[in-house]
Amino acid sequence: MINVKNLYHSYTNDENYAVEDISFKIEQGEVFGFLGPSGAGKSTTQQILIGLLALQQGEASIGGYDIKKPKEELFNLIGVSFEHPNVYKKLSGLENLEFYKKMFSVETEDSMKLLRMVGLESAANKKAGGYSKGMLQRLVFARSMINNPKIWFLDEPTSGLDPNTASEIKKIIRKKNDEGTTIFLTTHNMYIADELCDRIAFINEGKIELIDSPRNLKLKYGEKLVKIEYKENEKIKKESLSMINDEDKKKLNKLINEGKIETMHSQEATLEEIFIKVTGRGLK
Amino acid sequence: MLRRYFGLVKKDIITGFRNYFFLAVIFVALVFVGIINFVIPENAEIKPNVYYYLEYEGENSNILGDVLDQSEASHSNIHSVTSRDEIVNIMEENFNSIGMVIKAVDNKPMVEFIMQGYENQEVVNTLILSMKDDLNSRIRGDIEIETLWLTEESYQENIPFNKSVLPIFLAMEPTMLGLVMIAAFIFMEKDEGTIKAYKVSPGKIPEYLASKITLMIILGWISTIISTFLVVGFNADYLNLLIIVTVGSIFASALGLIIASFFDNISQSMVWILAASIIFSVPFISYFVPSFAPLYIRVLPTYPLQFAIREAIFPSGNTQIIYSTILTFTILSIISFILAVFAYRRNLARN
Repeated sequence: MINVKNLYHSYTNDENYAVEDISFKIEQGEVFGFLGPSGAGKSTTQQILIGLLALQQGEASIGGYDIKKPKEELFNLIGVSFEHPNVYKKLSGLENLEFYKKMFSVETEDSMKLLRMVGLESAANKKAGGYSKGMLQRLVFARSMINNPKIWFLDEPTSGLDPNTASEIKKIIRKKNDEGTTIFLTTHNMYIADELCDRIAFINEGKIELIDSPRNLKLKYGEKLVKIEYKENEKIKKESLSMINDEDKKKLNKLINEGKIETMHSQEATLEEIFIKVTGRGLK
Repeated sequence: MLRRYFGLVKKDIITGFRNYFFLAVIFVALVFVGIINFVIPENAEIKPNVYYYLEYEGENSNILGDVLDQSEASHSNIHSVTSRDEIVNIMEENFNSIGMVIKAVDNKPMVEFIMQGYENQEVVNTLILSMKDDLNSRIRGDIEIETLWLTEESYQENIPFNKSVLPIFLAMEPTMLGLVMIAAFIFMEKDEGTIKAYKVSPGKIPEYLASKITLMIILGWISTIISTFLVVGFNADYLNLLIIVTVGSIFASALGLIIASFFDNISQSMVWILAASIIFSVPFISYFVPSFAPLYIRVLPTYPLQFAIREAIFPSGNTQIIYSTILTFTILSIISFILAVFAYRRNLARN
């Protein structure tokens, strides 16, 4: 569905590249996460793919359409949920969706149905200028579904949302994916990437460091740990012990045999820890 | 394509309405109507002063003296002076004046006109013809000129001064309104970032810009109809007037779009928008002082525009100026719209 080959982009039109030699393929129905810290090149890549930035070097196609010369059909195929809400503040939520609906020449969704899905039904006729940040975020998310996109670009879709709403949004994303929608998810939130993505690309300083599934990454780069709390000299102690290291294994056995363990949890490496291991920097 | 265009127009009308654009336009039109009808006097003509010196003392000097004395008596802007140098001195201080010296060459009278240098040829020719006409009829007494007005009801010999201001208002407000207002609209949308959302839809840039220009045309029509109707009632050629305002609005709005495309906010662009507005307002001087029409004023599109609007409001049968102005502005509108589309494509790609 999405095919990117040797993509480069420089904002200064020189060799100072914001993204450099980016290549990846996304299959139909896949949820592909672009994980990286701010300024890593996530948004630049997405903006090139959705036509907001010019394709300077390299090749990219979406749904078989070359993005160098984007056609109307391409935009009928995609949906974009922006990180920063960009809606008409003087129009109501419903008017915003009704307006956007008219821009497409494919079958569109019912605006009220979408507002209901994101919990904005009661605010449908309120001017968007009076919405909270979270409500605006949900409106932008709803708008991105108006044309039933086959390829859905989501930029930090749960940013600024309370846990309940974020959970509802994740449910919608999963449902759409189950219906066959291909999703390109840009985020620096490792939890949402871990939860939703089939594959993840780690992007750092404009380059893709690796691409794999979250499970494979954890198996490959993570360390199997057990987090325990045990009693010693009437005091509670906390410790993380490796299940690979012989010393740690012996200590764990001893604590189990002595019956000193109060709590015990297996602990796998987070995507952030793996990201730090691979790139040498955090996701913030 | 049409569905998208009408969707955009509907959205822009709602947004414009809720941003009080309609209210502002109606308010300004009513204020101008009030000024025209109740503040500006009906009689306040601005004609060039004519300074003459009669040097000729031959056989026809009495006739010439009579002609000039009578003219001086019936026109407050004609003045007698005592030398050619005095004419030149006065003219150097007053740019809205012309001079005339009647001297003797081979014992015959010869008229020397002294001009400022920026009068257009039409004004000079009219003056010479009128002088010849007057002298011929005095000397020979056998020339009679009859004027037949084919469209008598539409001929308005004397437009009251206050009403004659209306074409200037229409050239400045409804027509050139788009120059400033469209920039305000564009920056509001830039601020909201909605153009990005539009760019990832199948909507096209020309449709987006055409919709904004359409809103400016609608606002221009409202302003034109209110002000013209309240000043001259039904006595105007409304069809041609609205066509002129339409093509003028397209040109001004497209120009406003081009200027706005180079900047990120309205304060950055305001200097350029104001500069463009001032430049396009310069020909208004020639409207009140027709003798002042140098080339740099005549090349500005608002120069014919104001006279075409005047012709549409106070029809005198000179439809040629209306059609030529409509044609000029149609061509200018097409060019400026194409440039605006290129400017926005470049600007969006750059951002």
